[in-house]
Amino acid sequence: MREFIYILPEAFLALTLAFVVVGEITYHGEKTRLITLTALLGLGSALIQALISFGYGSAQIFAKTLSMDGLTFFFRSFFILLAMISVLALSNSKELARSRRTEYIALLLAATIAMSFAASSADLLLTFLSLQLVNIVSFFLAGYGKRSEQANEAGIKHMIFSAISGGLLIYGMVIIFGFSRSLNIYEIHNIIFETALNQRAAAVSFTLIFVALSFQIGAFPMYFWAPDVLNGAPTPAASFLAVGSRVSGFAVLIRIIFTLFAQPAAEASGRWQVMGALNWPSVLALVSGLSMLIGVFLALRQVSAKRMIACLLISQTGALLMGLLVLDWVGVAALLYNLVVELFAVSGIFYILSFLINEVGSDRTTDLRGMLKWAAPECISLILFILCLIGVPPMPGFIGKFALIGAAAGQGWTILSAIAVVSMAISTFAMSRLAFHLVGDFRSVSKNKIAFSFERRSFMALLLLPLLLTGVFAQQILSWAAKSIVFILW
Amino acid sequence: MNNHLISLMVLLPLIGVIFQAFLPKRTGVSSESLSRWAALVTSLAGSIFGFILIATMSRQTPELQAVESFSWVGAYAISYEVGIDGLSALLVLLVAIVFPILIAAEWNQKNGSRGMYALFLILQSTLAGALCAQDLFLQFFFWAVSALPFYFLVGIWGGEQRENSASRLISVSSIGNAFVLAALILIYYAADPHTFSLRELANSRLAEKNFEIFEHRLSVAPVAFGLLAAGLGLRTAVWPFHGWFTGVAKEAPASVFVALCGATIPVGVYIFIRLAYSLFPETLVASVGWIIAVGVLNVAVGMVSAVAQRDLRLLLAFFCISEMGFILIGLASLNPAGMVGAVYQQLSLGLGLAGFGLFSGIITERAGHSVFLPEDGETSKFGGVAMRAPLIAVIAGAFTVSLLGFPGFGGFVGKTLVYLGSYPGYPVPLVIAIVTMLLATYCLFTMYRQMFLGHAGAESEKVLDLGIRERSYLLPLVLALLICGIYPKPLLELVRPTVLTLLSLVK
Repeated sequence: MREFIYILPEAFLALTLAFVVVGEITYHGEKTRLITLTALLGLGSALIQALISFGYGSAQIFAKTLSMDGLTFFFRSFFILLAMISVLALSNSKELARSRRTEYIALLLAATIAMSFAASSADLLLTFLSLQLVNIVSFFLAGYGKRSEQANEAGIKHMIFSAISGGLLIYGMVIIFGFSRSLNIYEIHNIIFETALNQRAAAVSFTLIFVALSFQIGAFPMYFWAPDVLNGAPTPAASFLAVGSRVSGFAVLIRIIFTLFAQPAAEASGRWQVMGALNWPSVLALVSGLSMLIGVFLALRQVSAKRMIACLLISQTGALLMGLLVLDWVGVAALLYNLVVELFAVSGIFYILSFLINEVGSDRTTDLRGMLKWAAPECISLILFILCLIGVPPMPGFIGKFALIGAAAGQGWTILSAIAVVSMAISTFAMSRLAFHLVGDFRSVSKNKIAFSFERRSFMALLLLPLLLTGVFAQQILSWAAKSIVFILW
Repeated sequence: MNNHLISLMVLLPLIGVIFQAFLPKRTGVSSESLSRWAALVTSLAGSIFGFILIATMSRQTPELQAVESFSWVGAYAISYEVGIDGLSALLVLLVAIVFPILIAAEWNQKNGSRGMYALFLILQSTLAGALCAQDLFLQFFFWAVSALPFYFLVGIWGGEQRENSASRLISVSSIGNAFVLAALILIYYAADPHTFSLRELANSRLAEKNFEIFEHRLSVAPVAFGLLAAGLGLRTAVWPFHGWFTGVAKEAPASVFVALCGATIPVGVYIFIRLAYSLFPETLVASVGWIIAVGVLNVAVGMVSAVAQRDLRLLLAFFCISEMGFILIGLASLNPAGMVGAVYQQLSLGLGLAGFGLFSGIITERAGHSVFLPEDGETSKFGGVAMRAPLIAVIAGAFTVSLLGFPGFGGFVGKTLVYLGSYPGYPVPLVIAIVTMLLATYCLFTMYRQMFLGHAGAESEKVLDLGIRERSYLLPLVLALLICGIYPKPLLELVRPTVLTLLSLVK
């Protein structure tokens, strides 16, 4: 029974999903509004349960297929919070018709369940299955605006990439399974620890798994989908994909890398070292540097705001990888801190862009010209959110970026940290181009006034306030993140 | 002494920003005037705390005063630590004087005035913060933020080519900030234990630390010093990085340009002095020759270019570059008089540039341009303005002579101290610099003659005399310059102990 208590949040999510589906069938007309409420209540109780479960301590449950440790608790709360924000963000969107929202919410919930299982899975097959579920749902979400050509392209592109990455992932896992005859990552860890994987097998399996996950996180070899998908998908869905899909990739990456390819260092606590002879941190460093540079240079050339944000996200992924390759808890804590900041920042960016796109009917930066005059709080918040994403003071993203760059510099990755600083500077240009258009020329623009909406403003405040608080209470969040990693199970 | 004067000085303008942002938007005179007054009051409130701070500072001590400190991000040893000493006191005064005046100068801004006030308030807050921060991270934080408002101020309210010069400005500023950030990370990881506190960093002997790059061992101090100098140099428009600055001078509204050359650039130079002296004394001593050389080149290049200008703003821009050269010479002289002069000159130069910039703004507002010297073959546009607008003539004259360093005005004290201090060590560069200053006298007086004396030109009649509002904000500037020039003793006493301590670190 105790095992069930651990997965109560997932159970709540599944129940909510069931209620939403039943609601979709039975509710008509005005009653469909209740669906949003149902989803929020379910998510809320799941979130509370997820927070409560922090107190239970770590355990391995269900024949050791699920590992309930700090990392799981962290990511589970993260994903549930993301789903809540995404459901709330729907309320003002004109891109998704009211009648189609139920379906959309059901998909969100399904994806959330899959993501939290991906984060907690200690079993290679379960990891694979949950990631596939995430990707299938993401494919629906990406192509949700099915009448638009761009959404179709986004859906197909996402499907092709996810199919390829799924294939690569399973091949990589098969190699490891073939060697160790086990699916449980902790058993595999012990087996590899005793008799090291031969170098060629390690290289191939690492490459396959990493390339597969690089699709998920939107990093260098498989980043091509990001701009198209995030541009084509309806903006609320893009927001969910940009955070959810990427972060689930990171959750899996952290767990797999630290159990299958690294071992705790003997001499110092809080540090890991490479297991076996494969020098994969250098590979990761290369990927990280390339992602950062490619991301910012692509961002400089974009004319569409959503594509530009997608490119900045590629570069952000590169920066996040720095937290991983340094192989110590300082780096991973920095990574998790950045993810928290990103949750609010990216949701905020897409929410406001969605609103602007609804108003203007286009997301080309030149068409957004002069919006500041008509929607000043929205534009200012958008600029702040983007500043936060790229890590420019005064936003908390700066502390996050500093922590990442610092983690890398502290471990002697000088060139990589230099690249990170350069890409921060370049992304400032990209962002200021967009900001500049938003501010525009208020001497010449004339447009209809945009109606004041209390809902919209309060949702923005709901995102902006926690974001600012993550900056003020950076210390507390960093130590919370560090705690999550310290009790990763072995 | 743990009072909250500094935090109040830094935070009050920010409260003003929030007020500007959330003031309900209604068309009608009342809301506009409400936003103006709110901006002025919050800016002044911040400034008044600044004045109280300076007035209550105890002299004759190099210690940090009004220190406030609490931990911010303990894991990285980042703390909110602020304090003030002789080095920053005069610049706090400068920032406190300049920003309320700028808001008063933009009183009648028609387009998006609230945004402009909010940006000025952000600038005031961040510059004051950068001056008082005693934590490297906090200082960089404020300094980096202060780059962004200019982008919008130039890009929105600028002239014809505003987008171009604004994007040049933001490119240069981001690169400059990136350099400083790189230096900051280097310094943080070189210090053992890792810390950002300037006081602890000063004792961590960075010169002995090394780091590896591509398997080369490099010493931290010269690299970090170079990055810092390049990063701050980019943002303070030191030759050879001044290309963007003249572009901004051409396009920016006068008040924005004043905020740049009269406040931001001195603060940048201050950060350089602070960090160079306290963190890298050995490297500073080794590179004094280079700094002097750059200083002399700044003086010469700036002044030769200034002579060729026909526009008040460009004249001012090149003049500013040239004067910054003097400050560089003073700070690198490693001599008490020279250093005190350099610090003092930051204040009086800032005030002088601010006054001159506002004067050029007043001319632009009235005549639509600020070209004082006709192209060859054209007739002079201005001339004889002194008869029509005697007050403008008097005030412009005061700013001009202060910039030139005539006795009785602030510029005199600062410049003389720099001359005195650097002559023993560097006679030849100083003589070159002084000779080029003769050019300055020539070009500023040519300007004055063309504008104010002689026969009335075609556009002279557009130049009406100062109104009440203009008088009320220009008068404090003139008074401040006069006080700086006639009774500098209390201010110099503030600076001297700190300077002596810094110099003793170097020696």
